[in-house]
Amino acid sequence: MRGNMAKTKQTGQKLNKKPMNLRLRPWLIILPTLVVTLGILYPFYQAVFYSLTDYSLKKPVWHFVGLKNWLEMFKGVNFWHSLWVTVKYTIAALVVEMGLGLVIALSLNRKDNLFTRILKVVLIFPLMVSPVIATLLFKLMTNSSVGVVERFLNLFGVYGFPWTADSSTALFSVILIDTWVYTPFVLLLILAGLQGLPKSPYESAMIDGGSAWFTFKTLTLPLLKPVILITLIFRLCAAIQEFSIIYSTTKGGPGDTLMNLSLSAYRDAFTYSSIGKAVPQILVLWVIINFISSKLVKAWLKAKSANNG
Amino acid sequence: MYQNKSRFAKVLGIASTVFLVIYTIFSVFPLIWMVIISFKSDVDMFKTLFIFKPTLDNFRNVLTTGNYVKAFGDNFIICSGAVLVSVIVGVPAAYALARYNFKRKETVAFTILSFKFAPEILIIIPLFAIFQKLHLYDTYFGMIWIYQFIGLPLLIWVLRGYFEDIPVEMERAAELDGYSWFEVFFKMLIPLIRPGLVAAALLTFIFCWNNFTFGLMLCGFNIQTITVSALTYIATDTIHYGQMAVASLIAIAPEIVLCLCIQKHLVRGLSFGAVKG
Amino acid sequence: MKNKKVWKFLGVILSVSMMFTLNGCGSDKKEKSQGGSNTDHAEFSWDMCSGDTITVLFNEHQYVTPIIEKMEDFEKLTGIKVEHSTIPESNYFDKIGTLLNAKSDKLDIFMTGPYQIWEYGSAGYMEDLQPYIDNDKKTNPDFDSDDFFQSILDSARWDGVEGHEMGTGPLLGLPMGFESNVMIYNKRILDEKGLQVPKTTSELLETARALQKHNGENSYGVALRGELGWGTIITAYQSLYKMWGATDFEVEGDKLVSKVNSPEAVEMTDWYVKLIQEGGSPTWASATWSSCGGELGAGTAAIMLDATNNAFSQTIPENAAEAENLVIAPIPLPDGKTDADTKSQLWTWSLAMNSASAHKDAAWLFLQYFSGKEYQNESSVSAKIVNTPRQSSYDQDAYQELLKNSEGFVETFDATVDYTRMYYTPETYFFEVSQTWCQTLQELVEGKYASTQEGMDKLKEKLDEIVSHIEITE
Repeated sequence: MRGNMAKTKQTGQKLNKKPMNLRLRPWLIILPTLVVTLGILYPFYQAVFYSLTDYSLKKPVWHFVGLKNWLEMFKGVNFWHSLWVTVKYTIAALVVEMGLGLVIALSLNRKDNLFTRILKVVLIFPLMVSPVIATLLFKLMTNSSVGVVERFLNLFGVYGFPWTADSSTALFSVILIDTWVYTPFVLLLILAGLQGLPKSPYESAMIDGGSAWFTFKTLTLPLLKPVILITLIFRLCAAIQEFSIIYSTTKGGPGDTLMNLSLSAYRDAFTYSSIGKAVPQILVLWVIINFISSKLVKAWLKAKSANNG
Repeated sequence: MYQNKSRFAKVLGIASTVFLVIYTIFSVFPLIWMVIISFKSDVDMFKTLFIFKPTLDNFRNVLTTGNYVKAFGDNFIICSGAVLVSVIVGVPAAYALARYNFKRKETVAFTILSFKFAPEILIIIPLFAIFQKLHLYDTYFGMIWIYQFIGLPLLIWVLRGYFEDIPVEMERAAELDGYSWFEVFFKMLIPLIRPGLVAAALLTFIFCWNNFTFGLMLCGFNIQTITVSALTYIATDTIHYGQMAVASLIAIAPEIVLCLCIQKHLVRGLSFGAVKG
Repeated sequence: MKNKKVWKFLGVILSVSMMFTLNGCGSDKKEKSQGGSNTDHAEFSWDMCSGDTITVLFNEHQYVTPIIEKMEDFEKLTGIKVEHSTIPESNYFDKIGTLLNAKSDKLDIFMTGPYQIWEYGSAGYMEDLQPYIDNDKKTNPDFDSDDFFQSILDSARWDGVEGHEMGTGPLLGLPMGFESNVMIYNKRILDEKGLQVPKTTSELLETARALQKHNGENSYGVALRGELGWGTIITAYQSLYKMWGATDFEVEGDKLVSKVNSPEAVEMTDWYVKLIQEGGSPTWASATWSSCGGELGAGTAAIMLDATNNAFSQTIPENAAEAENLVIAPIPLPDGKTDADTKSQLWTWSLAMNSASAHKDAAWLFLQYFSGKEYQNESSVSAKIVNTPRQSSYDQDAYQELLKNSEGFVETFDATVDYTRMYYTPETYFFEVSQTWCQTLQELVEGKYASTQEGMDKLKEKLDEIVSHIEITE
């Protein structure tokens, strides 16, 4: 890895002959991005500050309360339950979607014919439906009396499958919607990654007569690793914060079965009007995402340099 | 040995085809269902599945009453604006992150990525206060500014990878041939990253298009967004599923059109793929 | 190393922003607003605020459609420009709460329910409308506020003291309509099964049981709301809870104390849980008002207990296949209770004014126009608004004609209107209380507690904790 870094540094120097220019140019190029984005830091820190107050939408006046909200959160059972729901949801969504996305991408990539060419476009479509609408559609289709999916299940003797109405099937149901909406995202990025793979290693693998699985394991997977990691980072950020799908199905119920941190924070902020109590939960999420993402980015940098070197 | 391999490949081929077909049904059926119910009246919605008298009332309702058409236009302006801003500031940033080594490069890259870390509801209340103070509430400027956060990290990170894949020697060679940096950038690099740029811009557009929270909280009178408007078809006398389906179909239409326009890019790019049997 | 620098940077920004925010801290004094005396007009005229612009936020609701249709007439009459926007119901109060808290000038008029009045009213976000009504320079002599049904108007009047009943104090909104809770049944299905219309709660339970799978595996007896949230608690459940003789809170000293584990409360909840388990939908826990209505209208559910509006719209043939077989009746009485024990929990949608509004007089003209007799009489018929808040609208022949289309509606209305009011104890933690309550109800239905008593005991502890911050002042 270090060798690779040195190499890029060298080539970088070759590209820019003037040292002053060399040092300033990247910053100048990035400057527009910084200009349009740095403003967001203010509301962010403002929100952090709110976690130290009893700020509530139903009170015009607020007071500084120190770490009270934080301590109450860590002491309460609700927070730990919500954290656990968040973890379950995230892992389930990521495993299903990454696995499914990978397998479908590979299947689509095996042959190039009209069928696969059409699918490569059509299978992206669910991503375009707003998650809220997708959820309402799902609710209509699974309606226990007239839903088309229910009628389909009736053919197999399954009646009144409770979907999100029962705590034992609720997680499965929301993951199903999540899968429908977001697998196309994984699929798209992995297909793009497959397209970028170099041809020559495969040709030599063919000559060596390696099996498909062997080729996949030793060639495709390592080469795809950077793409997989990037996809994982973006899916992780979204899945760990998932809100719309759960909110539009059960609002966190039945009981508190699906009350993940986003929902619980939303409920505290808007239904209970207590911003001060909501923010710490979101900040915990933020810290978790930050931590895992930084690890994944490191892994990504490593995987990339391994491929290039 | 050759025989063995081909049999294995055949089994694998059949398995993957079957799998694809099942997933395609799972993926496409809800969309077909959406089309079907858009022709269904509210009475039939809870009564029948496939056999009903199709009606255009839902389309008539959505297109002529209310302000769905206006919301569609507003949404288009905001999202196009946001994508444009993202591309203008994001492509150079991605290039800089890919090509140059400078202090805190990874910190900058990670900071850009971190805009994806904070849930919208964390910042929405302070953001609202700022919008109000700076008179950004309900303005195109404010909405475009906030919407460009939705896709910018993705765009920069995807394109960074594309730039890194282009051998630096190509750039050097072009520069030695007497092309200026700008010529190299626009005439050589941009065409090379085009598939990535187009795909990332499409994703950015999709995520902006479907955003709900910002449209709900930060605008409403002069500007309305399409997701917020679509949800108002859940009226309080009965859920107008048919109208909602029409609203959703109209909402995804531009995305599908865009997708089909760049389909050539996607497919051509994708069929370059080296993984073959 | 990099991280350290980042944190240092964060620290600096954090402390700077804290200084900024601290300046604002505590300086926000509650503004006392009077019945607008900023301009003096010799006498009332509709065009006295000509040239003003006001902003109105609507919840998506059938009350709103006729208002928007009339908007142009209002603008022509008054010379006021109205900017309006409609928000989906699921997120309506998120936006209202944020705008009110920010004292936004982008909100003059909004819609509200009685429970929200407790929060917004005690925070001082809502303008008292009584001084406007009393000022004949500002109010059209035809306005006639006595024409509103007393108990309905009272549900918008509150003195802002938690634990105090509604009905005294400032008038914080003007009702556009109200909803009580009723039973609606499908007489075709009941006849086919040879069942009588249930008059008591034990009959209802038996009938619902007998109606399970009345027409195939998917059909069921009684449709009830079950989705997590306050809506599940304040409709049929709360009405029956009160009819049973149970109370939510009692004032003890300067504290509110939950009574959800009283014998009546436990008995009632136990019955309700049985009704859901043995005569309700398998997907009760995700049932919303709309899915309940839809399934009743399609004949999947044979009976529904819900708000009048939801029941009534299913009796309109364009909305529901079974419309002509549906009959509205009062909610059955608990065993041993009489008609005098009838109680129906009230819901109203009112129009209210933001106390931070910069165009109060213009906003008041809007309020009085759209809660006035002329508009109310006309729209109650044209938009088929059941439970109009005005006596004169209700008495119109055309309106009575409209109601007759819905079998049993008028009789039920007459039998329950005097018992329809706000039975819930006003307090500002209502949403937290009702959500927690609903969560327990869902857990009881899933059988997560050994007994209903255990569930309600635990609920009492949670509710006492939630309202422990309230101190009742006199």
